[in-house]
Amino acid sequence: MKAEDLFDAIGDIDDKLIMESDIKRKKKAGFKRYQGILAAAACLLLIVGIVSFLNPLVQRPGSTDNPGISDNPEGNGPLPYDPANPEEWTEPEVVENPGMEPGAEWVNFNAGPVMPMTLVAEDDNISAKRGLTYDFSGTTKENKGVVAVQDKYVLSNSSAEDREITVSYPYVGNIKDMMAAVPALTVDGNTVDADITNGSYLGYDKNGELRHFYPGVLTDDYMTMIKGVEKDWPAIDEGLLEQEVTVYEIDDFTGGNVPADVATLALRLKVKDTGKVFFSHCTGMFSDGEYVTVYVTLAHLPKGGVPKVYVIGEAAEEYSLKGYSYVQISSQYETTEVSGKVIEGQTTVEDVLWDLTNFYTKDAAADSGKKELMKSLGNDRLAEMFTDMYHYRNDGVSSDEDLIFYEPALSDIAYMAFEYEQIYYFTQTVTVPGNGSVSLTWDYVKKGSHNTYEPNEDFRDNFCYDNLPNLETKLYFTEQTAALVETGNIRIEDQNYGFDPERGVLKVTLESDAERYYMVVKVLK
Amino acid sequence: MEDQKIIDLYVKRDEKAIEKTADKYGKYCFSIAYNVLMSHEDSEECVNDTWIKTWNTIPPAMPECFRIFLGKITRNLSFDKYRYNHSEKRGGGVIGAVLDELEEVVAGSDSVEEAYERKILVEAINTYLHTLSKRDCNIFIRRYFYGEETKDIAQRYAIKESNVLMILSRTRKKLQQHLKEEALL
Repeated sequence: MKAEDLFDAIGDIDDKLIMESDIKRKKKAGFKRYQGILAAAACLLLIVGIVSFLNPLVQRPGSTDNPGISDNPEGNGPLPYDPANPEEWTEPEVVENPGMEPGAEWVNFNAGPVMPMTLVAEDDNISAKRGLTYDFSGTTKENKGVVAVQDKYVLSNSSAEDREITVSYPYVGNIKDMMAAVPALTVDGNTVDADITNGSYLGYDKNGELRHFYPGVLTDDYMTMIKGVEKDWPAIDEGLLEQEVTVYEIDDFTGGNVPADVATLALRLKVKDTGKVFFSHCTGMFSDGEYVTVYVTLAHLPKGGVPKVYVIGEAAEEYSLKGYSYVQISSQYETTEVSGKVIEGQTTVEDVLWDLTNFYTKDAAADSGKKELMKSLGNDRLAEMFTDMYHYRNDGVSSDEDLIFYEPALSDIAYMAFEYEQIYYFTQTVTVPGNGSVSLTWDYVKKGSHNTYEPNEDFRDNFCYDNLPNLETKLYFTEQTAALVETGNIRIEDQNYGFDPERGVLKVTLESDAERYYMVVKVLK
Repeated sequence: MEDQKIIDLYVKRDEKAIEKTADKYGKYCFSIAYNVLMSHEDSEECVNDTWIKTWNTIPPAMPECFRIFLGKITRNLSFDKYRYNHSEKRGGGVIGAVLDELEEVVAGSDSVEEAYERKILVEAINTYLHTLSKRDCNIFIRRYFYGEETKDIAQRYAIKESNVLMILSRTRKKLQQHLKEEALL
């Protein structure tokens, strides 16, 4: 056996032993100050086993090995591994040049595909020619593969009578980006203001089978969303929005001498129905069916974010707030050094959601001139998500064990509502003259899909652009083409379009019944 | 974000899983890799490989302790990289010293070709570590799992560095004895 073999085998030792070794001991000078706390903790440890089923702070429902407030609240807790010489520590460099392997399915940022325009109602008299242009002249490594997309449609009317039609254009983007710039529509060269509505988010399922609030990961996910659940959209419970809410705002949170990443406040409430309790800007929550404990760690407070616990309907019968200085696998040290106060107030669900909307949009750009519209769209999205979350917890599968996976964190879903890529629909009514045509052009910028953490240098700065030429469209296409504009700042690594810039092939005809076109480009500048 | 929620993102194949993991455990994994490799570039590469391996492993794997799960992946990848970088000669730095110390343990081995099963060796080490006092066990792990400097271990447990060196020396000898008793040396 070699020393290397032994070192290698030590890499597989018992996890619990490694966790134990993560606990730091205070230096003697500071130890005195904590002696009382440690003594109390020692006593506490003795009774942990006895009260584990009684005290939600001690035993997390459904967990057998997680007896603390959290094993590592929000991850940072007492730092599990801290280099002893911080002055010698250098922050790891951030990989600034994201990319992806040509042809790879694995991406960790999917900007969503370009999808075809459709008609709200089918019309046999209308046919379309489509010309899609990717203009890479402004694409740089710094802007993460942003390409200017022009998606042009010439709609022809084969009947002698004018036809009034409503078109719908599906677009994948996020609210914050759209506050800076929204897709622009021109009809026969004239700019028009198309209506914008929310599409679906992945996870919505009316039958309660899927209840998670995440965006598409793969292009297939967007296909699923468009094909599957759009028809039932939207799903806001207006009655729920009007319900009364008691708010418990945690204010004046101070940690004294306790480091911020271990200074934790726990608000314990006795409520009639734990399914009616939600929170924002807190670290986590447990419930034992009667009491709910929401905890928040000082270091994890977002800038300007105030921890709040919401009880819908009947207010808590009683509540208490306690401070803790150290929270670990089997230790929790209650201390008065960590303190705060609770401010109780009354509001409605609707106002709670608007408060979160204002928080997540307060620093957003407003270049598009549509900030208020986007706030409203985002707020609707949040209301849809909250409707889904509320009914999941109260009418669906809502055991305490499930709450571990679906924590009622409104700030989490608000973040998703405003910053995650989602589907939006732009609609516009136009008249196509008898035996004539009308031209509609959509112009917008779009990020490239990529791997943010691409380890292979050869694949960094690679970005992918998908096009789904017939996804759920009610338009009959007589022709679809794709064109490429580039200024030597990109190189195509992989594609199925048929472009060949070296031979001057910058425009190709697409098969309208093809499922998917893709193009991976390396950005060179 | 709590670990279980991050794992849930992996299960749902949500791209944010990597981002949240990197945000939360990037420094932790980097520090493990850096202790082994002493190179920013190599450590960064190992950490990135850790995210990919995690993505490819969950599901079906469902780690009980996500942090340790990541730490082990990083350590294994880093050590693979170390061995690749030093295929001919053992490198310097902390890991070089750690391996020199472990050389003492295996010095009694009759043959470098001696057959043993890695699983049995891991079990023997686990059994041995459970015989140690909590403090000695922790110090052993900080040195030989994490590859920490002895002065850093001393600071972590608020004892003198000379004590750390003494404890490590004693635990190495005991480990050697234990492995001999288990017929692994």
